[in-house]
Amino acid sequence: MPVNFQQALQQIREMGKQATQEQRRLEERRAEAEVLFLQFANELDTLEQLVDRAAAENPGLRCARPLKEFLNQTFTTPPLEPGYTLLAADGSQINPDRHAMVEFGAINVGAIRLRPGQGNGNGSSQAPEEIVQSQMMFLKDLFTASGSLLTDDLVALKRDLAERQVLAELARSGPAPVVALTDGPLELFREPKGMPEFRDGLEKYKQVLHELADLEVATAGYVDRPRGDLIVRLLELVILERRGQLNRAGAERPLLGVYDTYLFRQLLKPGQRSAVTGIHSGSAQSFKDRLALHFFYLNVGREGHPYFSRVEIPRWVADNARLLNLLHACLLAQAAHLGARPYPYILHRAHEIAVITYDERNQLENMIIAELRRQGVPVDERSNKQIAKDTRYSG
Amino acid sequence: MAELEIGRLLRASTTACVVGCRVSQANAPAFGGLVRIPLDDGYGIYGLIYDIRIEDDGLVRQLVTAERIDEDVIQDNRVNRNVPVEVSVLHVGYRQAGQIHHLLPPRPPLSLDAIYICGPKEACAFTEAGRFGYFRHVLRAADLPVGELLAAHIQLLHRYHAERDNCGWSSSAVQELITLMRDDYPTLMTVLGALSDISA
Repeated sequence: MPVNFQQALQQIREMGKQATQEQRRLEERRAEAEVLFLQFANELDTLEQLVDRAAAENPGLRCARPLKEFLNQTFTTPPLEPGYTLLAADGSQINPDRHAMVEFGAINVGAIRLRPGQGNGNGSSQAPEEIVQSQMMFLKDLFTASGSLLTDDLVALKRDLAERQVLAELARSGPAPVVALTDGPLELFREPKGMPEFRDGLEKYKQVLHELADLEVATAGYVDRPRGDLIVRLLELVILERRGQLNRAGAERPLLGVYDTYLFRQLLKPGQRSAVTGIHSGSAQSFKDRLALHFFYLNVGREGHPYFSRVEIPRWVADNARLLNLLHACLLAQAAHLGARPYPYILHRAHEIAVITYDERNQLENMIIAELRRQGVPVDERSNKQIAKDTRYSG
Repeated sequence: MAELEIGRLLRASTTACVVGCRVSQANAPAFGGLVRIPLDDGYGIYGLIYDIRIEDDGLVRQLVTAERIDEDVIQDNRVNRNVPVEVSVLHVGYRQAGQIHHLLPPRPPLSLDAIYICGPKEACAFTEAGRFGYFRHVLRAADLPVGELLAAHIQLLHRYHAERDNCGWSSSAVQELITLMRDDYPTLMTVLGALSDISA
């Protein structure tokens, strides 16, 4: 049956009636956030104390944690250091499907290694190197210790880990300095966190990060069109403290809907980055010392057309001016390749290499079925639910 | 002379085929050039290159809008990304059991069959067999730049034949074209116009 457009239209019209009011309220919250931002941008000690006090009341508190750079400090594009190695990795996955003929999983990591400006010895540039690693999951690989089928989140966690493992493997051969990029935050947002498989995956992920730290790789997670509000949440602590409601931090959101990027829209000029700030959150607590997660905002747009990204970095990069500057300059150079739609070229290419198409998924399934039949192992039919779905949308 | 492979077959019919080649190979094929697709048991198809096409995709269209394109990015797109140069070939004859025929091949080539540039000796052998019968495949083909194709082809083969002291070949070829197109004056004028641009 199609969507009930009559019902949907009614709800859309109701939303429209409220939208103007909501927009007005949002503008008020934005203005308030901007005032607080400018007022407290260099009150780093005050803000840090607020975070500590709020976190003591709410262990799940999530907000930015100031470091040593004023919140409204801006940093212009540094010169791009020559002779670096640039790596990017992305992953794609097939989740086990109990409705399919065979249950299987796959993780495909695509990586690309680029040495800008380094020729191949005969005067011409060397084409970047593409690497693909495909990992299939069958039989016992598909189940948790408790016997449940792997969830999409657990497969995604394995994928996150595989991406970083490939980067670490490539980074070993350098040459330094090496910049290694992935799309999305470094912080892991996978559920359920209590499961042993998640804890095990997280430990392995941290081990790989440690290896990247040992190699002094400028590792970063790039977030396009960020909807983060960590700095805004930090400013909310000021409001709540004034109200005597600091214990409600996280639950009360006086600046709800205001994104961090709003604060930087006039401040960060094209090519500039914001101050590096720490992340305080329950999941970020797993990343300690040199792995502690930080971030900055970067304007990869051009004059009159700002475009912001959020870049997550571990402490060892945040504390190393050379690596930080290299990362800053490198991201801008890569984003500039895509012209009016800036996004790091190398991350897009890693995605292209990694993606598993629908046809490829079907091809893999057919190969598995063929092998099982060759071995005399019976193969199930699709579930009746899946058959019904496929019939509905076929032809 | 070592054979020069220019690519592999993407798709084919009885009258034509399209070959995909890597950019590094793309320096080899030339418009109007004669090519050969060797198949089984001494059977091979001859063709004339009538179109060389480089397709774009979304990413390439985006890259061209940037102020500057690094050489690494150019090489990445030419070497790594699967956007082959497409070379369109018009079938003009075939060889079977040691005999060259200027007829359409009885069977088209198959996917991924390799295709090679004909060297001077082979090109001369093909063009000398029969009496320019293969010209009718070009003249019959719709939507081809007939005049320019024949001019390019004759210019190339004139050079090959001249190296073999057969300077009269190109004159004979032009005479044959005039005979074949005597009832199609507009096309004939187009062809002769293109031929007149050939430098001696």
